[in-house]
Amino acid sequence: MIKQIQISPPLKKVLVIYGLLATIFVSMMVFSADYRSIQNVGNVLVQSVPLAIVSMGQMIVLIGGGIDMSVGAMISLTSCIAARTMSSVASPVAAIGAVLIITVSVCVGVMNGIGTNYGRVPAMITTLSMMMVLNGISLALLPGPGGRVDRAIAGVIMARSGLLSVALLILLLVFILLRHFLYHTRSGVHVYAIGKNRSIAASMGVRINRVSILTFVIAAMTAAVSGMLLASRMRIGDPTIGASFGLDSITAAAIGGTALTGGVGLLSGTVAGAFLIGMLSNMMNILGVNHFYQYVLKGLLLVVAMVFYSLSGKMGGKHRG
Amino acid sequence: MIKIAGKLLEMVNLTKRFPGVVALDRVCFECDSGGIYAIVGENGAGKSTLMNLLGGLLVPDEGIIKLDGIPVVITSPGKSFALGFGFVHQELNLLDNLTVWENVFLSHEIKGAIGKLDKSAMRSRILAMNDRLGYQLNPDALVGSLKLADRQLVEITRAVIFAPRILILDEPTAALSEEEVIRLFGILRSLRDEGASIIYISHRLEEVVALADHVTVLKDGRNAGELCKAEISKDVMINMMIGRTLDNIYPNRLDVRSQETILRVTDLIIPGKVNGVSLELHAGEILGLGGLEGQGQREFVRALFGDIPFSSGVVRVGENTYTEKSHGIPSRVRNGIGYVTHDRHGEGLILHQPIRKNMSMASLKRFKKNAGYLSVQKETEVVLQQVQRLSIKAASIENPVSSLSGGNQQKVMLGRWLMVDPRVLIIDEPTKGVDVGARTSLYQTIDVLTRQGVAVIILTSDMLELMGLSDRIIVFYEGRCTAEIVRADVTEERVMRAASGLSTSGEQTA
Repeated sequence: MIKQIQISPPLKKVLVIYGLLATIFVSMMVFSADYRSIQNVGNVLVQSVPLAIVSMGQMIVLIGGGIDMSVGAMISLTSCIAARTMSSVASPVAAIGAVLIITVSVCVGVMNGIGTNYGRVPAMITTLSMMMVLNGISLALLPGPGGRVDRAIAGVIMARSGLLSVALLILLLVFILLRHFLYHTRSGVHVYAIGKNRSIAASMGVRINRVSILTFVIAAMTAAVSGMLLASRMRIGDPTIGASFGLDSITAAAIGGTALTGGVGLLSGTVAGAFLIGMLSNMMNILGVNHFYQYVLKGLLLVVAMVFYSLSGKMGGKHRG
Repeated sequence: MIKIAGKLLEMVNLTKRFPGVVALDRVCFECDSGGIYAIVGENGAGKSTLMNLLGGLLVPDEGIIKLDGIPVVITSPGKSFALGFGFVHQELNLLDNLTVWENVFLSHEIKGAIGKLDKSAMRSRILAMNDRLGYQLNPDALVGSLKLADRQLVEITRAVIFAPRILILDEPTAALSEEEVIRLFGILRSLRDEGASIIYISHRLEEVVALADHVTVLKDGRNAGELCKAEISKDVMINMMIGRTLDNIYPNRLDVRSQETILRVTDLIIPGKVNGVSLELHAGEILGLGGLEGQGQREFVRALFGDIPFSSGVVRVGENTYTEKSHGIPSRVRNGIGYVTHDRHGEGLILHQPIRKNMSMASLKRFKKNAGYLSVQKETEVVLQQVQRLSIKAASIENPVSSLSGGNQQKVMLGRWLMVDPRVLIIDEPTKGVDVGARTSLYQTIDVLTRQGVAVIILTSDMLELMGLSDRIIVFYEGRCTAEIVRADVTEERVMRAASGLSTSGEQTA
């Protein structure tokens, strides 16, 4: 059998995003001394990790034909639980906190999935409701930024040396796990199947509800990982820290070539999308661009990416990698 | 193989009801291993329903399915697969964002260690199947990038690769070339000789004659006859499929005279769907488009309405001419063409909106006041007139249209187009899901309309309705007109023959 290595059409699009990333990176390196510092490059990478992780979870939900608005609230809740339970590494409460975070995230994902699949409520509504509920719980746990995450725990998670950091390793680990899931297990194939057409997938024997629930669980768990990273970085909890992550994760996935209609998306594209967003923010901070305009640019970036994809999609048909 | 007493598959007295219609009425069917069993019947005879019972997509209301003499309940596609059924569906049941191997093995993937997909095993099994079936499918190609015929081959590969005991094919040849059909038949025969049982559903009677060892004829959801190999012929099958009488719910239209031509279509071509259809439509006439499902009739009328593009041809309505360059629905509506869709809930009505809004939707221009405001008063007035004219039974026109029965919903759609004062009204499935009482009144309305000079085209899969309502019938077969029959000459047999691609005089077409 002949094995061919082909660059699939969606991968080509992703390469464009990577090209854009590289261009911005190189031009910043050339023109800005502040930017060039290893310290700053390391910062950009670390700062982009939480969004990259949660965006991968979001992308899996999107591929499966859903959408998860509650990931941001899940991030906030995670940071609050962490700040309330992990104030001392020696305390057994810290271990309970970790178990609690995992349990809560799985439960949140299952409930999102059940509401969407068995309750027949659109995913947008189910997860919006979940978002409000989780935001409320977060505020009840921690009315404002506060609590404490133990130095030892945070230190391990935030450890870095030069460009390398534990956060990047965590990103790599999550990427490898999800990559295995999405491209090398039957559930992964089924996620793409249900996102394209639930009834055809069902008639071919796919257990659509089960697969769909699984996507929501994965998204909630990636949110928990991101929340833990953020809590470690701040060393405190913040009930509103995740507020922007819901929409940002959708933006990152969309920029990375994920179809919001389901059935299409690549992990590498989404990671690139998240880093592009992170890098642009960092660039504008260094250039001293007003915070407000960052939103404007983010919006423009999204629109331009969508136009690009829909135009190239028209020519090449709808594909996935 | 051990011969088991009793048949491989027995279906006894299966009944399946849908709201307002009995799709299957005590249907029996049986088959044994090593045979090709054909099921024939008109549209709506119950063929596909019967097969969906085996596929686990529907559950019978009454009756028993026995496999090897043991009653089984098939509740899901997975169960059906586990019992040894393989399916080739009529409409392509594939996911075009997935590759060939993903589609072929979907939900039956081959797994290696720790649940990892064994992609190379699946690829090589497809390549092995390619060799056996004479196909050239690339396992890694995206199904969305394949031609229609190749997608059909993917579907066939999916059904055959798991070596089913009973292979069911529902109109498998629609997208295939003659050569591919011949090859498929060869494959089916060799599978039969290896002991598989094959159930073949087709409306192409010549295929059935060529292939089948046994034929079951269904009519109106009932068994209409059985034929063994020696008895199979097209004429016998057609005779079994027809033979019903017209009810007197249809309007008497013997006094209708032909008037001036209002619509003229010349050589309309829609690639892959319609191959050069020409026809004329006269004011005050009801033209029925007949034929089996999917012969291009629906695409044809949708092209007239400007909903789908055509590649060449001329459509002339009154003094206006439409070519392949003039598309878009609004100009047709302005010119007095209306289209009542067959898909009432999908594209006809906005269910949660009131009857008034649903009805006035196509003619809002009439109710414009100053500054673009709508005159609700005037709108209400006109809608009420229509409601009375069509005798729609509704407590208030402000009630959501979903509160109405199927028949009254159909009338609302009809009313919408009556409000634009159409010259040509296309009605796709005029009475789908409508009870008998409302049917009669719909037929009366259509009759009255034509007497006021409106030309009506109806598209229906109900043979009796087609014959009862039309002044003239044009039968479609594979994108062409195979017969034009005026009311005085119409018989069910002539329509059936034309719909099966046979000439109406009795001889076979070349």
